[in-house]
Amino acid sequence: MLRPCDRCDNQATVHLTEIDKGGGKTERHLCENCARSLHVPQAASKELQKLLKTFEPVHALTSTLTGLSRSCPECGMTFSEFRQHGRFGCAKDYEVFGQEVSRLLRRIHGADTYTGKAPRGGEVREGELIDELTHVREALDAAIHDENYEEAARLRDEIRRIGAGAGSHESPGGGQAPDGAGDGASDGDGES
Amino acid sequence: MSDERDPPLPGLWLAEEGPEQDVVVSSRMRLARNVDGYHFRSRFRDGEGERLEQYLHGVLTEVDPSFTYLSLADTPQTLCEVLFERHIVSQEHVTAQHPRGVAYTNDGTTSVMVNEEDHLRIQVFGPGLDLETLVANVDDLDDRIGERVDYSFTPRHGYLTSCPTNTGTGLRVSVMLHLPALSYRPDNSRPGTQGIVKVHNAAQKLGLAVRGMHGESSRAEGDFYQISNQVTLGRPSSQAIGDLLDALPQVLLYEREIRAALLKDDRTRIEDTVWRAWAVLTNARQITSAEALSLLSSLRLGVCVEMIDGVGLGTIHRLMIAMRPGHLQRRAGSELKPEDRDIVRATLIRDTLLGTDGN
Ligand SMILES: [Zn+2]
Ligand SMILES: [Zn+2]
Repeated sequence: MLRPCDRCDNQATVHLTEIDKGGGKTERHLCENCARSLHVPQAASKELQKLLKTFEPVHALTSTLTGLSRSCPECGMTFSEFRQHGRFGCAKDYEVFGQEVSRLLRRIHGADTYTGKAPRGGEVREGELIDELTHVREALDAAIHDENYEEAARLRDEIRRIGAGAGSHESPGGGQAPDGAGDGASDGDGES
Repeated sequence: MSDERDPPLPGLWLAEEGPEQDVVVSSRMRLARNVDGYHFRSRFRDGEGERLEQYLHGVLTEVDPSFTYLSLADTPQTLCEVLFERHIVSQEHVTAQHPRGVAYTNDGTTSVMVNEEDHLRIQVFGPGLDLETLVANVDDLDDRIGERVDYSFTPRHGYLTSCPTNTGTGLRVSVMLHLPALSYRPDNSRPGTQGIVKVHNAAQKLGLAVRGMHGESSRAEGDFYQISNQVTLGRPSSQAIGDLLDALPQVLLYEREIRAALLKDDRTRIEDTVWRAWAVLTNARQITSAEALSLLSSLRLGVCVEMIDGVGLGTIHRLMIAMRPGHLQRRAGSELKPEDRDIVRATLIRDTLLGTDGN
């Protein structure tokens, strides 16, 4: 079917029929670029999608200690849903899926801790959090090893207080170089 | 043609002059921000999107009373298309169905999308290469919004975003480059030997991405490429901008050197390409946007190397936007079939280049 894209003048290669609640049909013809930026049919970019596939949820003891189930109490997101679409449901997901998120962020950015400006004139300096977190994490590891779950729960809260997400027990910043998981296409045309 | 109640169109800053414009077409910076206490867009509850849009509309009006704010649900499709073609909103923002909006300044250099992939997408643009000005502007706007809104932020991960590729600074800085010489491949040469391949490879090592104007990764339409940062965590945004600024002089130098070399070694062929582009653009009676973009690219090269005078880069940039479907349809005052757009486009280009167009 040779016809131009509904949204630009490229040749349409994606043809969709949408059926609304009343049974009415709308046909859409899009080129690959437009289809991608319209999130048809899948939200995550190819690179991100590939990355997410390699992420099996970690059933870490620390995640279940405080009774957190593996879905977000705030928005109901599960990690497998996140993996499918590559988009979080709310800010709390960063905390709920702390370990997976940290690993993922390291794969994407080569780091999982923030440096830079903070709201209302604040600033987070390099290494500021890492020292404190490393210390508490070591204590948490020890508590788990000693099966001192009460202390472990307290330390986990402490970690959450310092920064969202329990992070992981691997050394921070030890990730891979970024392998180009971009979302350029989701910014529409042009200058993503 | 336009109704009195029509909101002011954002200005065409792309037609203005900017630094390094022989190679750098434009620069853009955007910040992704979310508001604490609201779900991200994919998980909005009933009415949450409306409430958040209303709230942010109020905030943005307070931050800058000169903003034009549009709720996209109440905005005619053609106007949305025009805003998209002027980079004020993303393509996805136009077609989405949920409550969403956009605020922009009349000069078109600043826009804030509400309820896009993130609650706020703050964007600033400028012609040519001027990242220092852009970063100052985008930071200032971010601060003024951040005084009134509680952003989703943790010291550990920075600004929390809907997509993990933006987590941290939420910053995407990109420059649009015109690289006809780097893309040039003489007949009979091996594929992959053009300069642009080397640019791709060098950029990748720096954590930068090179894409075509419409996201393509091989040779780009019209030889327009965008280079942007990928990393938003672990280093401050100043470093991402610094990396880009470090990499660019090489690319600019390389492109200019090859342009000079081509003019020396292959002048007739370059002249032929440029003048053929002029001939078609000023005579065609119907033209697709792909063909027009490719010819305008050749014409742009001709202007940059002073082969063509009487046409400015501003005119070419204005055409690159004005020839797109939304603008053509707004100009015509009605919806146009693609075949008809090709005719209207050819007329617009002829009239503009031959100086008979009032715009
Ligand atoms: Zn298209
Ligand atoms: Zn959630």
